[in-house]
Amino acid sequence: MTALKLSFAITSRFEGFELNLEAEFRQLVTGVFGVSGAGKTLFLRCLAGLEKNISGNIFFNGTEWLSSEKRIFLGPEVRRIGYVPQNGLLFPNKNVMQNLLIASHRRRTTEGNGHTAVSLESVCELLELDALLERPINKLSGGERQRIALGRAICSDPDLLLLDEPLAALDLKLKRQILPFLRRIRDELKIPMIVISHSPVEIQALCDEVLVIQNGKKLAFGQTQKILLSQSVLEFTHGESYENILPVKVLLNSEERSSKSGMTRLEISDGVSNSKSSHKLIIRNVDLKAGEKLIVGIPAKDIILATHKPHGISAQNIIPAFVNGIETVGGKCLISNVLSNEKFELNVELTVQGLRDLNLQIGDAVFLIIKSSACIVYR
Amino acid sequence: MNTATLDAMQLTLQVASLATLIILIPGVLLAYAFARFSFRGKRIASAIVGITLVLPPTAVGYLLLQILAADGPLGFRTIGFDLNILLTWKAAVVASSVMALPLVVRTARVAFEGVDPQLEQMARTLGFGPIKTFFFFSLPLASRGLIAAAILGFTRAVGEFGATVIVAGNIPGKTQTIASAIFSAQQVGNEKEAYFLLGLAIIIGFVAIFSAETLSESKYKN
Repeated sequence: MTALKLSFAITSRFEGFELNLEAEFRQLVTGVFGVSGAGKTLFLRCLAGLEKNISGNIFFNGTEWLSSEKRIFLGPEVRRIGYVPQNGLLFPNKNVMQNLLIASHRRRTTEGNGHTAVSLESVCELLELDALLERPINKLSGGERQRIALGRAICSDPDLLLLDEPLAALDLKLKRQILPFLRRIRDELKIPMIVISHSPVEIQALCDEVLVIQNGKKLAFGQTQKILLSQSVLEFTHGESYENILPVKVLLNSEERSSKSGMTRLEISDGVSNSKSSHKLIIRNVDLKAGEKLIVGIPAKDIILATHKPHGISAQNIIPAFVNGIETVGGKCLISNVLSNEKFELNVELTVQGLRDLNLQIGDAVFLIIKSSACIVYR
Repeated sequence: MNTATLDAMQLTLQVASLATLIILIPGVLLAYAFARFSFRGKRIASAIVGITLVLPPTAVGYLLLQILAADGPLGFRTIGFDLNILLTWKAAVVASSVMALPLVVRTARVAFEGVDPQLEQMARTLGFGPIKTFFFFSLPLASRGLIAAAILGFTRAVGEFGATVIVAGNIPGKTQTIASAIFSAQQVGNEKEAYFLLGLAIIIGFVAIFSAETLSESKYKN
């Protein structure tokens, strides 16, 4: 599958609320970000064809889904989408297997255009559903429901996945479990996705570009990091500290684990860059296999910034970097730093006083000090 | 138990079954339309369908009699041939159907209203058109309530007396049902038969209401 090509200019009204959006999505995964009540769900339902009260245009990969002038409105059944609403909406009169099977009815055969639908078996494997197949729907936990809803959407062989807050209903532990599944869908199945979220972490971990909605209008749209760090977006996420997301590869082998006494060594790597110049990250030991790829989150407020290499410090990670951006929002400063191999960026939150004391300038060489316990593993 | 009583039992079951079959499909479709769609004149349509629930059954019977009489809109002088319904068991079916329809529609409507419309929307996004969604999702999800609707409709038809006695009469062995047989037994003072028929009516009614209530408790509630 190729990247997403979706363009739209739509207006929809729902109980006195007006949604008015225009954009062109081009990346494989696009995030839709905004606070509750911003109109994110309404927007997704408009794309799914579930809102009749809509005007404007929607084009998807050359097909006109909606055109008010031409009086075109394609029903949801012909848009070939995999819609995963917040509550999952599994069919309660069917068990897990039957929920997956009923979605498989429109799967395309492999012959012809070279398109290969994901098999039911590989969906079950990818989302670890095998043990659940015979279960009735009311005997499932929240996380299981979410995974099955995702699996069902994929089984329907969609051209586009629409995910409405796939992690919102889950507690923190489950969130950390489901997020990697979503990354697998992106990296292994390469199905274009539009993901709604009000969590910057999810958006960062999944999306190549992001559309920010506020009161039904477009607030910002563009490359994820750039948008999430922009002044206007940071203003309404102030409650939540910015969390840096890094792709990592597990380095340890068995001897290393014992010698390092409960620590796990990771390499900050997206799998493409040369590993020689890559930075290492030491985190608290979690049960990981060498070579495993995962993502690590580091909250911006948990990183200490130093202008000289510190000595005699208990923190395990001291990473050289350069300052490449300074932004002040609501009494806090966000310093973006390029790691010294120029591959990855880490943002650090400082107080205005802290920034003044260090007298930081763009281009300054700095050291980022990260406690191993500040790193959050998503797997 | 005499043959007339046996005939009454048989005819009652036959009339009630036929009436249920006749009204079930239109009743379910009407119920779905009332539960899901908003359209002009919905309340008026709903009131018309429901009115026989509150009218005196004899009033409905008299109305049917006027419609089916020789000069009525469906009489043989108007349509050119005789439908041959009045004073036959067919008239009992017509009367029971008209009287049972509102109960079927109401119960089925509640059944459909208990199905989350979002589940139907989900089915649409999975590639099922509106008609397939109705048959593969709405009907199975509402099935328990729909069976309850059929049972209640059947029971109402079993108990029908007022409208039936006007259009079909009370002819033993021909148009006499359990309901009209109880009336006749009481009129002539045949207590033994009246008690027997009463017991029969109570058994049928109890089984029906009990199973309808059981089915109405949704299986899928969380």
